[in-house]
Amino acid sequence: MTMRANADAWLWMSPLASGGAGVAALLGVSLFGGSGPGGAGVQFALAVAGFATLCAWASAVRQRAALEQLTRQAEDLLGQARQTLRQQSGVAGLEQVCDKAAPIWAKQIETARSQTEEGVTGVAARFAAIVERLQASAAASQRAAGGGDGTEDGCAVAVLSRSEADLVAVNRSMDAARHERAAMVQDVRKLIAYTADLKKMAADVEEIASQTNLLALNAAIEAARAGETGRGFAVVADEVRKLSNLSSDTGRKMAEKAGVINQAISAVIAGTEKFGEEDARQAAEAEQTIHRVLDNFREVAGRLSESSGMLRRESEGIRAEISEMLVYLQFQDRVSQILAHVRDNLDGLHARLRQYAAERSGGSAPEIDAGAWLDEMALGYTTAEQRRNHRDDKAGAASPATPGAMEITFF
Amino acid sequence: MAKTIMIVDDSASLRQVVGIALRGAGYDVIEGCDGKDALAKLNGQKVHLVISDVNMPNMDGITFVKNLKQMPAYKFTPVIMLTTESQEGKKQEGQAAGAKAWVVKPFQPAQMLAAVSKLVMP
Repeated sequence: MTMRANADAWLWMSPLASGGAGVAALLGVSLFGGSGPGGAGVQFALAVAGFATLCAWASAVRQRAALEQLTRQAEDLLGQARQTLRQQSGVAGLEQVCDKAAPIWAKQIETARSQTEEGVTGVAARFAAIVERLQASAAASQRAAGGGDGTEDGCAVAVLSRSEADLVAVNRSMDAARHERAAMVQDVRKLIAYTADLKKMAADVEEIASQTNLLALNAAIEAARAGETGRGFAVVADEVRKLSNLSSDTGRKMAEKAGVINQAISAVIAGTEKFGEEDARQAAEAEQTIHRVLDNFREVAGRLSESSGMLRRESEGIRAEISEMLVYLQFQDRVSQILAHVRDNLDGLHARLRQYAAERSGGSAPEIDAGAWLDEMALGYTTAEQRRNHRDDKAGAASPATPGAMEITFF
Repeated sequence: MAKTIMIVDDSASLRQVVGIALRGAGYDVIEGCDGKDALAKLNGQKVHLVISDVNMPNMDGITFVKNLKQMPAYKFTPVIMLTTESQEGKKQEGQAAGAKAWVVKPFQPAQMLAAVSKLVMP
């Protein structure tokens, strides 16, 4: 603005100054020679003065035009300089923003990455604990119920099997005792026959004693008939008679005792037979009770086994569900790698900006090869979607965290 | 006796995920957070298989496998590379280092277990 004002003033003053010189020449001629004898000289002087004035005027006009052109060029340069200054000021502002913001962005990304990683790790750990507890519960239930092959010692099926065997053994033992008792009764019953024989033998003894007594009596009679010579024989006959009486008593007592024994044996047999029948009835009842208890136990064990099987199937189902979820939890690894790469790139950009600022302040301003920068950035990609995003491939937005068939290569 | 598998990955969540799948199938699991850490933790103990990521800090998976294969105790230990990387060049690097299989994340647990079962040392 100031330069333009000075130039205008100078352009308008120049022709005035030239015109002033002509007027001064004309006034000089008029004053010093115009009234003398040399009038032609005066006219010539006037003409020269006029010509000089015209020349001065024309020169002034050209100078003005040149100055106007210079002014326009200067204004253009000034405008460009201002624009450049404004642009440089803007770039410097952006550099400052990047210098301050890039580390913040990198930190924000790292914070998001580490928090997500921590969260997903915690979720995975919880799932691991759930799976372990499910496995432990299902295994304990299976062991208790014997849902598998029932070989576990403490399982319900094994206990049932052992109990059944033990109870059947007890029942068989009771049966064996009953049969032994029946055999004993048969043996005792044989004793009745022996006592009958004894009674008959006692009767025979009594009969023999009676006949002996009769014989002794006859002998005593014959001894008395013999007189003095038969006196000794009479003593013998008397003694034989006494003995026969004793034998008769003994035979009678034997018969009585045999009768008593017979009655006692009959009573024992009757009692034993009565107890045997009772034992048989109780054994039958015990057997029925045992079977009923075992049936109940078997039913409970069956329900327990069924429940254990259901728990196992449910556990396996939940494990399968968790297994599916594990696939989806793997998104964190990909996200973490992508975020870490962006963070590292931001850190790299920040470092490069600082290096550039230092180089520029040192007087040099090296060019930044954006293509080389982007190529170097692409070298660090680890996922297919990063490369697709880099190519600005629209399909890159699709998430690969839901895999179809797993990509596996065996070497 | 359960077989032991080592998981090497810098992502704790992924180690958890792989660990759940393996432990559920009855394997014992030991973990390393990168190649250097894994070599330190192995320390001569018997492992029947190694599953390793590729891109890791401190020591990447390819370098880790190369180091592992130079150790007499692990010369024949099978290695599965488990990575997001699917470029053919990287796979060839893995094969040259001595890996037996290359699995691209995300993996299906059942298929991963099938691959493990196929390669795990008897």
